[in-house]
Amino acid sequence: MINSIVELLDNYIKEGKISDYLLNEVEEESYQLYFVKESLETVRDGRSTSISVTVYVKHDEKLGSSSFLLYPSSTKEEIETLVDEARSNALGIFNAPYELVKGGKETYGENKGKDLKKEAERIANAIFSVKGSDGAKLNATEIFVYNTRTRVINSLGLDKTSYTSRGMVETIPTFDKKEESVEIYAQKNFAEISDEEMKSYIREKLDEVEARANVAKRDLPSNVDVLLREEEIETIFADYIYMLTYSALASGGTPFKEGQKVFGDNGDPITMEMKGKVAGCSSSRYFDQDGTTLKDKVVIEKGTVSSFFGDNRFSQYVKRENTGNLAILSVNPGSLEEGEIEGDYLECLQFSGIQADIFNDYLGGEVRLALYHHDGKKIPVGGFSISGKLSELLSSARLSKHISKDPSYCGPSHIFLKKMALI
Amino acid sequence: MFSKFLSSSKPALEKLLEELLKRYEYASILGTDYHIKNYVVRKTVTSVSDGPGTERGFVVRLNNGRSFFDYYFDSIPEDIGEIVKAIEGAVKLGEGLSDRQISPKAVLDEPLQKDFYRENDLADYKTEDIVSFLTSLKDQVLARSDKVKDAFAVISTLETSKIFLSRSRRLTQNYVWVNGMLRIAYSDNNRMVGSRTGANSHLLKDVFENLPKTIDELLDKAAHLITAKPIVPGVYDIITHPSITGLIAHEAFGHGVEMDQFVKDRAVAKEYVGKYVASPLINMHDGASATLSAASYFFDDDGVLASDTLIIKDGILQTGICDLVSSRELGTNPTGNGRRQSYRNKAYTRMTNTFFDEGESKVEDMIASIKHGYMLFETNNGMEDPKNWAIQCVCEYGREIIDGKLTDNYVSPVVISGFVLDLLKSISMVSKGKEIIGAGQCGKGYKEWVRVSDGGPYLKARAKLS
Repeated sequence: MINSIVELLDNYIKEGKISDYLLNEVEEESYQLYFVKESLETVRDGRSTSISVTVYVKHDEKLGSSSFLLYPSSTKEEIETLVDEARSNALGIFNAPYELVKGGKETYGENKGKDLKKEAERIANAIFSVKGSDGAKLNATEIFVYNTRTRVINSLGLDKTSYTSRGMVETIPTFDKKEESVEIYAQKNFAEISDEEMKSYIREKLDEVEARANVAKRDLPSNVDVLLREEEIETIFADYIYMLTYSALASGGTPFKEGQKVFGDNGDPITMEMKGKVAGCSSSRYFDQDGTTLKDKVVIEKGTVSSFFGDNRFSQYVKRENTGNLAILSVNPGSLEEGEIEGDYLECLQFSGIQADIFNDYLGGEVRLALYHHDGKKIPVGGFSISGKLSELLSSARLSKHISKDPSYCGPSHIFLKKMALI
Repeated sequence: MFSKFLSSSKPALEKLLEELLKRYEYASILGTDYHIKNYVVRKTVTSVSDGPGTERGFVVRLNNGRSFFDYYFDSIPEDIGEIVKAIEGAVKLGEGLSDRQISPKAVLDEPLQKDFYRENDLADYKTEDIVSFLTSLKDQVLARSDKVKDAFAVISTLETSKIFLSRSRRLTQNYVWVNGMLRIAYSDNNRMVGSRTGANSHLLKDVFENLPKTIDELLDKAAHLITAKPIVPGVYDIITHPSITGLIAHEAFGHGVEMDQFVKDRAVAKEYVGKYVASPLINMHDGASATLSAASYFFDDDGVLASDTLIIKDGILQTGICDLVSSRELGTNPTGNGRRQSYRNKAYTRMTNTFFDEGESKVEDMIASIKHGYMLFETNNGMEDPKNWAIQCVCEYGREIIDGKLTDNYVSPVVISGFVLDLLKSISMVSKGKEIIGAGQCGKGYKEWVRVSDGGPYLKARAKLS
């Protein structure tokens, strides 16, 4: 189908109706299993394809563009109508001009794909082979596996294709006691996962929910040192990353500039790099939606803004290198060793949600489960909130030596923050 | 206008259904055609594009007395046998899974044939009209102050067409929802804040009329937020703006009465039906037909007609909301709340338009009754915990109330947390009038996003803020 669209759009260019085009095709197949209390409620299987078409028209020394979606079911008549509409829309849009990405034909990954049904069943069997202690069980487990083909084509001859596979497991570990039942939320994303890795993850979560069941009402100090995990580290740094994009720079919507000191020097130096591909991170990709081959970029080095990053259009607007739309945050490991922390502190395991707000210089959230390390003991606690001043907390933060990965993050598995207010 | 794609697909879908009904006790097909058009005018760029969520395709649901099976696809081959063969291959379960299947009650499939349509005015506006309108708004906002560093003016239109076929049902629906938004980045004294306002309706005409009226509020809010301080954590008397009232309805109670959570024993609300769960001043609804807003439709993705469910009456929990599959496991009736993010996603019990009913109090009397507290505004996000009834609602900002007067002392952000029943039982005043805000999205856990609305009157309560 995509060949006939390319042929049509090439003719539009020859006739001078449009200047350029960009196509993004995504073909995905999926297999999904949904369990309720370890019984199979629903099985899902399917496949879909969509093609996003962007049409560009140079006019009045400006560049107009407009995008629309096509499907395998789109008819020739429909496609022509949509191209004509997009062309008309583009003529009414007066953006600063920029050039599309140049390139040739390239293929990344292997066009093999996984047997999704077998893969989902393998993962299910691994999950349910794990037995927790009495009272611990899994509830509402959902397993998703995907094979995806992504292709980007433009009118300058670029034609890149990649093949990837990924999966996700969501489960609700639950612990029943005589008087009450408690649960936690767990989600694991992966590009590849072995039976042993999956079993280990499930064991860890069953232990956590047992800890939540043993949460005791307890008086805690009003100020406490806090150890957070990678999920929270990613949330804390998300606003910084957005503010370091060429898009934010071009619009004046960022408070940052190159050379600006963002984090103080009282803790581990914070170095952040945006990356395109990291083994084990399922958001990894070879190229972005424009077809740009991704180039890693250090954006904050030892607490100071070293560079911005961003896609083809905005790189030309701000006259900087096109890094592509980088999706993975990599943070350099710090100096904090496991077991090094002395004194009392809170190890937070589950939040209702954590809010990090650069503009209001705020970090806080409601803790559903934490281990209070006190006098050498780990006491399960929860049902309170912590908060503090984001800039001060990060300027004295310690980062762990140990690293961990999730779909869009590779870096310290823990961050240690001093003196957060507790209520 | 109803989707030509779905209309033209109907004969083939009828054939497919006929084949499937030879093999399965229950078979249904849902066809969807969502068209989201995003018009974005920003300081640096303008764009017109099909938005995320635009799609069209089909999902078949099958049941033979054990586990349910969904098969989704986006085009129909000339030979229907190809799909039937693919389905038959996919439904065969491997060892270890067959024994885990559920045994639900038979699926209800009462006869109904109806075509539903809600009036809209999309055809009255050309792309250039919308882009020109948004460009004017963006320019007006930027011209008002050099402290405005970036400005976005956005209109997003969603036109939905759906077709549902089962042994006894032939349903179609078509409706539109429009969201308009203004957003700025505002900078002063080396500090930068964001501010946003919105207008939404089933008619573009209403958004064209109401969005410009929010410019003063947008700038005034930014000018105050730039001086906002963090709140001193503590327990306070609060008054919630309808946006926060809606957030509480949604997070505190809405998720807790989604009855797919009852099946999983994940909702403590199951044990509270017929008991007080809130102040006697509280009445709460959810339903696609309960009001006209972002989540108003005529039938759900299970082919069940929309309804208006009274969840809490005079503070007492009446019932929950339910999708078709969960109703077959619980032995109850579905309430028209079975929703899919897309044909590629599973249907779950989902909220629609969730709100508290209005009361008798005047807002000025509510403010006057507070010695020291906060009025809380504008939803940022929230997180449910139906099992343990913990609540977290993040408000964009609050304004301090001192000696019965609303001050210009802004705090931001503000997080309400605590135990759901403590919060709902602490409600002591409910205002006249209510507002439903239709620009929200709701996830199940951290995925499965669907459009929702929520709202209600102003509430006076007592809550932990941080």
